[in-house]
Amino acid sequence: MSATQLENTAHSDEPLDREQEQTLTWRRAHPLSPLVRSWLIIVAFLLGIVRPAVEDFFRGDDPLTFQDLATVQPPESGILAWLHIFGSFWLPVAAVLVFLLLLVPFFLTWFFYRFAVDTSNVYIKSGMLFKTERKARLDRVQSIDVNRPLVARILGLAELKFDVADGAGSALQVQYLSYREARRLRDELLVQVRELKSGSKPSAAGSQLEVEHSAPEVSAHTGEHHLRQRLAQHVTENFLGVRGEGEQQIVHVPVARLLGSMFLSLGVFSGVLFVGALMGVMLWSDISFGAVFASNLALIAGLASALWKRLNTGWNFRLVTSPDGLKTRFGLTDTVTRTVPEGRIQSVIVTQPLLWRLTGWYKVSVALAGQGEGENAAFAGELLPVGTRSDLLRILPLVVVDEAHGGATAEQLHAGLDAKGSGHGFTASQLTARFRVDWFAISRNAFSQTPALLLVRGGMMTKKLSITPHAKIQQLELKQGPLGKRYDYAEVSVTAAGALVSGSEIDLVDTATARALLVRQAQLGVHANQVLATPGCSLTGRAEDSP
Amino acid sequence: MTENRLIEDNDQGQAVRPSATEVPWQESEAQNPVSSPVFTPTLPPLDLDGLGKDFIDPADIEWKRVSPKYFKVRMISRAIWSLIMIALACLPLLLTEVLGWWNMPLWLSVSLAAVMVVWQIWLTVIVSRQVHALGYSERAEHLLTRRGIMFRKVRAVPYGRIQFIDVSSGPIENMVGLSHLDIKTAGGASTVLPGLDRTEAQRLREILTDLSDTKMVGL
Repeated sequence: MSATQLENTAHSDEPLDREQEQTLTWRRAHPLSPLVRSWLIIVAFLLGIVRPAVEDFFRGDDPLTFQDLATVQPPESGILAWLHIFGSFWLPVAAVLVFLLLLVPFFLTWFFYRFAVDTSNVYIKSGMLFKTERKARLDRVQSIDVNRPLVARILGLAELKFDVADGAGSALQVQYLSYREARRLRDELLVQVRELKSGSKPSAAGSQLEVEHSAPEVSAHTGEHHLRQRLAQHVTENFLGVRGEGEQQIVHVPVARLLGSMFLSLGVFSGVLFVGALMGVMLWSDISFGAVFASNLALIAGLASALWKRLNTGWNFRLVTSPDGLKTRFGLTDTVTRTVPEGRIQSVIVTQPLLWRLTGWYKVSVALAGQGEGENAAFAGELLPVGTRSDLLRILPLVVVDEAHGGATAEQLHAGLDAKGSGHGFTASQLTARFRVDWFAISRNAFSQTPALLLVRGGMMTKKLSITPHAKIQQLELKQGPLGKRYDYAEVSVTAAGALVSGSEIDLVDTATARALLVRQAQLGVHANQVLATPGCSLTGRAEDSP
Repeated sequence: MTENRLIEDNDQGQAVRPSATEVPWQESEAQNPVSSPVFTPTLPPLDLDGLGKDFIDPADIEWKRVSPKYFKVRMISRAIWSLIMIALACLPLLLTEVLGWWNMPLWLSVSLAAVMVVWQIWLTVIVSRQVHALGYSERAEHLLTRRGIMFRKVRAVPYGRIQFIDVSSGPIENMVGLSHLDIKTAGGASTVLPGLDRTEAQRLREILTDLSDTKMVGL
């Protein structure tokens, strides 16, 4: 496995072998999927053309025609005569034709988009003029998620997304399948992935699975159901949410708490203050509301967009455990299910913004390999958008190695969340009183090394605790600027995969400790690797503990 | 098996330094139990060696320096950049005094140009020290790199974490036969190792590739 890692990017764009291709059964996505992609055009069509036409029809007005033109000047050329014959009819027809023409590319894309699955790979063929063939090895697949944009939800479709671990954050997507089909395919593929990863030979069951998929069997059942029954089923599946097998809910975030947390976040607080101040200025100086609003439109839009994203990614948030690892489900318009496989977590970060102390709320997010880039990066690895201390204490054991495996003790975690100064295994920044660069953070800045974990505590305003297994640390750096040289302190920064690890900078440590920390951390990383490499022994615990 | 030469090169026949007993990981290294490591939970703030505040490098590391030819590369590119920057800074002077298009006070345009000249001279002067500060070292389990004088940085990249390595050379490097190495892990910025002879760059690439293959642990 490791031998190929270097030249990997886990999926290749090379053409597939001929005979290999023969054995695959290629399937298309759901025929309704072009509609999901072209929803904007459809909405524009309905609003822009159909609605005025219908309104005109009911008002009894003639739709816009060239008839006037025709009566004023009798048609001589062929085209005008043609127009004249069709009279008031031609404009809607042309509009519909243009509309259909606009849809054609979407249907072509759908037609030329095919995918196949065999025991060890996922293949995707796409493109009409420029054909691309992509292949992802199932043993490299980190997670398979079922995502559902709003339109897909209305049509009962879902997107199947394969996250591949090659650091570039690339993913293969099958857009779209029917929801039930997507879930079934996902469950079966996850079984295969697990088999491949555990090293056992892909069983015959795997290939049977694949044959079984190839016949789209959805149509078989559907006729029997009553329309009402089907509608009810559609609504439950698409809007109320379905729980998979073997899942156990850990945390559910009530909407009220999410709204409260949004209000108590500093950004929103200052935003509200700002808007209040704006109102005040407006009333005081008699500027019209419209003018003030328009001049701050960009700002207001930014605020609204940020709020919307937060709301959408935290709405009805659930964290469940399943045989495939942790799963999160959330979404107001788009329902997203994310799988966080055991062992994929690169580091865990617990934060508590200043105002959340009033309510005792925390946020937990994890850095994942291959995710954390893209538009929703800030919410990518969220395990708990906002939760109470007891929620936190239920989640942490799932993602942090316990004491028996060289992890952190409960007291240590508590100390990491609340305490200041040294103690409970934490070494705090020790600086002479004469020179304190960062007055506020200084007593909280601390680190702790357990046999398996590096804990970094910091932040006076926003409390932060980042927990990184030694085995996941990608590189270490020791830095010292001129001030540090003068006053004998340095900074150690630790990088794990997956972007969101700003918490892992150990700042303001005196030089000797920093140097020792670097060296020790390097050794612990190597040690952890060796332990990981020996079979039957894992530092990432849990999953292997309970077979 | 654990040749943690990052700290102490005892196996190379060096005398154990007197402060060794104070170093907490020494004991665990001696026992070396793979399944249950005995580590003291934290490091006391101790003075590891007599180097004090002068160096942040881990002790006892023999750094390999980059090729002296790299100084040339840096000087040439520095000269080009300096010329461009000084020309830009002289633009107000030219436009005001010679062409008369702008209306800038003389002292401002002159001091702008002067400041830029001084700044570029400073940058040119420190090139030699900067190049000298560059170094790398292949340890048992890590590649160490160091750089910087004012802002020192020592970076350790475990071999098993290296995802891919690029060898490349720009036009100026090509003239003197140098290459640079771009080492990428799954997280964080890539580590650039400049100023290597081509043969050395190839050697490093092959060695690092092999090492990362054998020591790789998946994400």
